[in-house]
Amino acid sequence: MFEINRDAEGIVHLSGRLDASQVEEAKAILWDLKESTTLDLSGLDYISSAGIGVIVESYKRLNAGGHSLRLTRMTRAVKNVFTLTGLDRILTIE
Amino acid sequence: MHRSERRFRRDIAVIPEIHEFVSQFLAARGVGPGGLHGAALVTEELFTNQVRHAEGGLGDITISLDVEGGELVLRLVDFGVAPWDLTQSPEFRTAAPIGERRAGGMGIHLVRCLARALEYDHRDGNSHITVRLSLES
Repeated sequence: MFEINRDAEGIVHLSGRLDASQVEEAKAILWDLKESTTLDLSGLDYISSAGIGVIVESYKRLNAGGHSLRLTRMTRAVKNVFTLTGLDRILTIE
Repeated sequence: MHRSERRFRRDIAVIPEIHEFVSQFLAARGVGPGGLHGAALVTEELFTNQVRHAEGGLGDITISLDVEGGELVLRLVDFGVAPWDLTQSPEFRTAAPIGERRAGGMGIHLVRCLARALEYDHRDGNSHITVRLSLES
């Protein structure tokens, strides 16, 4: 399953599988961000285009407000999906 | 080992069940995490596209899995739908700037990247999609 939560330092942790059935849960946190944020994806085993779409929209919303979104600690499998879509050249991935 | 087939309700909410179906099938055949990940992703993207874009639909979508010549053969049948040939979808622009990015088209793009072959047919009122992908990581 998928879990998303924000810790005391404001880092948003995503874990499990972010598939199309879980996007509403992801949106509830990610589309409510109002300041520069770091996403920790170390616990995320899987992401599909639906999940990537939520992250991209979050990035665009934050950018529009002059804020940034950093994606960190991706697994190889998740990073590969971002690479296949060309988003590794646009998003801030560390 | 034989082909495995299941019917799934035409609902995005069943995607975890689809992933479990694919994982169990491949794990039983000794496929590693890399192969599992690609197969699950392709299956989800195809299923989601049918649910969201195919007009009509009688309620269930059948997914069957088989291994032929070291490849996973995934067959999806969507019953009672209007033709919607995903192979004719426009190319996804991987170099598009962030402001031009939309969610549409990304799923088919990922299928094209991961699959060796993608075929579509519409007959007897049903859409038939066949995908072949390597089981190597």
